[in-house]
Amino acid sequence: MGIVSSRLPLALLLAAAAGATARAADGDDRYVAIRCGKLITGTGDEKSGVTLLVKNGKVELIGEKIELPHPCEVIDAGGMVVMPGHIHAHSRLSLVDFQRPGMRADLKVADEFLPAPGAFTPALAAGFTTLQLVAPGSSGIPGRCMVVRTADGGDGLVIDDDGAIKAHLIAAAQDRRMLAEALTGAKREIEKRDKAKAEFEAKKKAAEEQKKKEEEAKKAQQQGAPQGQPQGQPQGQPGTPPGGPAPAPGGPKAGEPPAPPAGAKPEEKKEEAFQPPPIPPQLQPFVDLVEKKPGTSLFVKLGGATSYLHWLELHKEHEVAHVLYPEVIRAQGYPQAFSGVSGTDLHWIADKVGENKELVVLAPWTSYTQGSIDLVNVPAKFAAAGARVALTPFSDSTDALQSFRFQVAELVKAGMKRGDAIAALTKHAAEAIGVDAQLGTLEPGKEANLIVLTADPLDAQATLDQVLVGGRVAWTRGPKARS
Amino acid sequence: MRSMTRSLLLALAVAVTAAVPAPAQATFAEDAPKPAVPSGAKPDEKKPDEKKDEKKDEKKKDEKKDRWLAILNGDVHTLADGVLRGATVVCKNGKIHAIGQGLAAPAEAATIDATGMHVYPGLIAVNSGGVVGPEPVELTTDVFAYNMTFGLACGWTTVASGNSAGKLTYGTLDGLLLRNNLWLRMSYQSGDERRRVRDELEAAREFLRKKRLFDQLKAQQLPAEEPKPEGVNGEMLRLLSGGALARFDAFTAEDLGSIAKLVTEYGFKAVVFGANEGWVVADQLGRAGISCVITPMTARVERDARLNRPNGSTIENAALLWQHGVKVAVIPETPRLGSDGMIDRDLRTPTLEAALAVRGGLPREAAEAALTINAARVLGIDDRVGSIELGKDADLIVLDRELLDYESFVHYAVVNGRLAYDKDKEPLFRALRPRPSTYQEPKPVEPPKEEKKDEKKEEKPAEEKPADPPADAKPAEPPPEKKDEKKDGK
Amino acid sequence: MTLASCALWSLCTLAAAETTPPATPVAPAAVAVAAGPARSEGEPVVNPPAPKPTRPSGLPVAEAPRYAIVCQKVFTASMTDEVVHNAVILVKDGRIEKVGRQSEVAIPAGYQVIDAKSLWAVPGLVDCHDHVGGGLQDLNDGVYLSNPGLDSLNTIDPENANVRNALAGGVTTVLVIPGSGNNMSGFGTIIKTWGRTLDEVLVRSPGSLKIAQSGNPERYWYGIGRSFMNWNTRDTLQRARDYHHAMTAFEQGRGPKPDFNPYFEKFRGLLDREFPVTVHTQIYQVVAETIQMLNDEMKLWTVLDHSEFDACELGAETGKRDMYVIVGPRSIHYDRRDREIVGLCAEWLRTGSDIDKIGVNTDAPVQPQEALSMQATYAVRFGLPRDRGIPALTRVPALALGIYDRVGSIEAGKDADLGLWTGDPVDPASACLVTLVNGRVAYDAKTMGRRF
Repeated sequence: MGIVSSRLPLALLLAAAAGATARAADGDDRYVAIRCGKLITGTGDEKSGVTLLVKNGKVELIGEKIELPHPCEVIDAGGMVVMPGHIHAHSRLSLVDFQRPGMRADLKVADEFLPAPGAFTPALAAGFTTLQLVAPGSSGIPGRCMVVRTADGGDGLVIDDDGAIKAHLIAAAQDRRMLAEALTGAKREIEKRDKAKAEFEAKKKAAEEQKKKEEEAKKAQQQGAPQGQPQGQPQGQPGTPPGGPAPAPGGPKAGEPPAPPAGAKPEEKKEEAFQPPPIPPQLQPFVDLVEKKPGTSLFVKLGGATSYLHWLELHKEHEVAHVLYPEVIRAQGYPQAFSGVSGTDLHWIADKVGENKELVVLAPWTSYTQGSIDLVNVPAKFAAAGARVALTPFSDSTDALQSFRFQVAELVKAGMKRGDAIAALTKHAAEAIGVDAQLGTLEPGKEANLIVLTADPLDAQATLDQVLVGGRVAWTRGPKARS
Repeated sequence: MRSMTRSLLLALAVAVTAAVPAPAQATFAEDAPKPAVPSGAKPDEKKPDEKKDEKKDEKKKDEKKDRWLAILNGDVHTLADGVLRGATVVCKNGKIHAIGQGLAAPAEAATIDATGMHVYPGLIAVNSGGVVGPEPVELTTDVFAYNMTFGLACGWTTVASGNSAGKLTYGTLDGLLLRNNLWLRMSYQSGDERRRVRDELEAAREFLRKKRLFDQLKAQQLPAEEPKPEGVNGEMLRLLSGGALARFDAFTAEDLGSIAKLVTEYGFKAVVFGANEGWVVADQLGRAGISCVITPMTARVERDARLNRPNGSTIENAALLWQHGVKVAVIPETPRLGSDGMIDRDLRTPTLEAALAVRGGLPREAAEAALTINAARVLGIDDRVGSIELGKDADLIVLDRELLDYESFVHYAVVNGRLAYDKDKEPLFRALRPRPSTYQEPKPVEPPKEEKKDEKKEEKPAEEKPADPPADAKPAEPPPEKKDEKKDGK
Repeated sequence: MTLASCALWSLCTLAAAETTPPATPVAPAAVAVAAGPARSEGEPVVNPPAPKPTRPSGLPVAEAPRYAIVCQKVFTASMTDEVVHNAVILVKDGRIEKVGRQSEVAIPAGYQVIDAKSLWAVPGLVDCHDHVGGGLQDLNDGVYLSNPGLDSLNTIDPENANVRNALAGGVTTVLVIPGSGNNMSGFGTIIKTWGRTLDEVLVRSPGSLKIAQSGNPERYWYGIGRSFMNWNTRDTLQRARDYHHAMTAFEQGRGPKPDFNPYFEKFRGLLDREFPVTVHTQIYQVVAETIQMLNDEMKLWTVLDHSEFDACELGAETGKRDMYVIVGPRSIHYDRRDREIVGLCAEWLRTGSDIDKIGVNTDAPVQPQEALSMQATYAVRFGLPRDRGIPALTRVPALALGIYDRVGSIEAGKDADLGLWTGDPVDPASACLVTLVNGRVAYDAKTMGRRF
């Protein structure tokens, strides 16, 4: 991110200078220029009449007047709107659904990822260029997610095969215990490892000291017996652990033949490396999580508002990188005076979610307040309170994918700020699946995964015209329709 | 939660408005610092106190500052020490910190104006379903659920669920679980059960006797063999040493009588749920010190007409038990919050159910206790909740009329010192009964001081209502003021 | 209460293809039309019609004791809601002889004085909707979807255990109606809650016709919905009306003698507005249909029973027609559209019902018969003005049923049915200690023990 942002002003500078330096295309470089009627970069900027230059699948330049290199493919989207491709943060496309109960953080979606040709076409045809494929099931900790492209733009499909750990926190009586156990278990493992390491270091130190003394003693013996005599007694006392004199590290174990003194040197080299105690594979991802290893985060599926409070209590003890995915209950059902409709309670925690600057993935729905038909716009409330809201389709169905932009537009009609909605489609969505360094916005250096729409994305009449992945056209709506 | 933020904003202005110098009858928790600030006091003057607290809690630097809430100028029914008219209850960090007339609230306190209203301890349901979650309540309760608000609107602040007691902490998990393992549930009906229970109690008592002897000998440094607790039921030991509360579910006079005998013989703490025919053996239950949980409303229906002694149900059950010294707690017939239009005497109508005990002859004060302090005793949580006393949990409800008035509505419910329900903020009963006219909406702007004094003077005559009838007054008599209202209504 | 909202219903008759009794000979419609209606169609409907004198009690007058009840307050429930303080009530021949202040009414010799100086005298409570007068036997004969001709009179059990405690709740008059398992389950009977024989307890028979419009009868058999039930009820009533017109025409010498029809014979009084139809009706559209069909179209003396759920939004319609609205056993409605709980009585009042025409019922055993006063408690708690509690228990149901000439208030000349209460009967903390029915002490807590 830092690199990208430092390059941005430079790029703008270059763009601002009318007729930027002409470039002779290298033989291997592949250039695509997209003339945009309007460009929604996802960074908060919306520019009209700019050209976006793509080099080898990455955004190279954005500017009003860019001298194009040669050769360069030109896509004319002059009357259209270009924006980053949509991101689906909770997909199971191409995967087979099954329940995977219990704590199985050792399992990876990547291991079941064998997409059939055309498996992602429904997503592509709705403007989705990136999917987070989540671990299956609706309880427990079913495994690690992965992030893929919906089309191969030259870099393959997989973006991250070791993605977020999915965890559920819906039925707190089971889920919270399991999650707490996983996190404390990881801490235990870390402690165990640190302790083992400390012991190892201590032993090593002791052994070295002993060796030194022995060598000194040897020297003394070699020099002359009278001097070395008193030093023989306290041998091995200092530095040894309370368990008694430690055996030489890596030294002979019971049943093994004693190491030949001649081969001491190669063995010493072996001793240098610390072998950490094995960590159970289920806990390894949580160890990474607790140690804040980059790229490891928790994707937490929450139920209602109360489960967020449970999350806060967990998080107080175990501060880890996380993305929340609370369940928004869709406002539907025929409201009668004496038969209720299901409703949400998420808006009651909007303040807290905003205060904690949570990164929240939400379905693009308005809901009823519990026990009534008062409409409440949870995404808008969360965004207004200061949370980073990412919007994602409610499922993988064609209906969910195709109506996605429309539903987001409905949220905006119902009071969500346009800026929040665009960020929820672009920047925050990429952050939510941990690929914001390379995706989510259209800035120099980022992947040119973008969509071309016939109108503004929040316009109900907007139609998807083209989808580009890695600067290559991955989907178009057909020459007939476009002409 | 929502209104808390607002009232916090208003707190400063209102606190000064309500401030009255010289706390006349103020009482303070022994260990706590004096919370009241004289009317003229500026926030600066309070700093020493705060600093002291900070020093105490130096380790907890992250902890938020003290959480204050003051309920101003209500008629405080303490259920422990009578009624304080026009008194203020100050809560600090979820506990009752001060009670008294003419108390001032600390400047940073959130305030509730209870002028013209009645403050009671929150009601306690000794049995419930669907209000908090099943055990473990702290993990299964939906604190934003409709039933949580509904329960508070009906006056409940603590409910037993299974063998745990949970609070209706709307919007927070903090302090939700009050206590686990409320009772040791015992069955004492069939011959086998009775034999087993007696055997186990006997063994436990024998062990305790030997243990006492051993301790005495040991104290005198005499040789003795330490008795081994093998084969002795640990729970019975806990029971006999006063560490547990036995719960029986019994209905007939035979069962109740035998339980009374057992409890008298072994001397442990016991409660009986049901006790339909408690009135028949009320003297035995009273002597055994057993508390009873009953549902007052029932017509006189004989259980078995062939029996040559009183039997069956009666509306006088509560009164007759109470007359024999039995502590009575009341629970409506169906221990859940109904959603039907039929009022099935469930958790929606606690006060009407208790009023029916009054119909059967129970004094009003005892009927109020049956929903509060006695219910707390039945759950063994009376050290925490059930009355308005210093140091107890700040679980309070503010009603527009006296608790047992059938028209009374809960206007505010406070749980752990947090405002958990405000009738005007919730659509539920909002349209039904407006706040009493004496109530003054907190004003965000501080009015001039002279006016304040005038207001105070005006309030005083309004407070000069006839005192409540004494506890031992004849139960059937409705208070005189009610009749007058009736006349006016005509 | 585990019982369904109204009463028992039967599924035992599987041969339910016929919805009304097998082919009853009915005068051809043409004849009926030719004969003309007894009432002209344009005649305005006045609700309720001018009351006819009710049958006097069957109790021997000579045995009746004479009482002078000295009480703190008499809530008379007269049309002017008069309250007499420090009152004395003279009871003679089973009737109320005089009500007045102690200072104004001298107690004549030979009157036994009942000292109730600390108590309130309240008229005996009247319940428009009771199923336990027959001891819950033969409650709902559900042979057909419509059973005109049945009558609860035959099921009355004057001393059954289910009504025994009603006296302890101050309830003295009940309308015993059959259940609502089918559209028309028979005629109701108005009885007193104390007496040894049918003759002694009977107030009026038929007390009303029971019609159940919706809410229970659809469970009679598969495929029954509101459209069919409305058609079925209307069809039955039209046939009854045709019969009545033909018979009237014959009686007036205007037509031939139709065949005697036992099913519809009792409907003649109904169609002549001698007694009301009490309708099990609830939910907005069902009540709207009740008003339209029974009141407007059939011009029956219509009393709404149940009147629950969102039906309370129809207050303007009942107000316009001076109809009586009797609410119960449900007393509140949770409106999910507004997340709000409203009291049904208060809501009827708010939407335009006449404040003097809103009463309560128990639907005993759904709410216990003795707990009738609790229904008023709920009504007042949830918004009915406090002073309407007692009328809703006494005068309103008595007027709705047309028996206010005998019961429903404490006034000279009326049956001496009253309860002596420790306070406002609407307050659940008050108890009824003495109940008089027909001038006899039917319940005395002191001698009989507290029963409620």
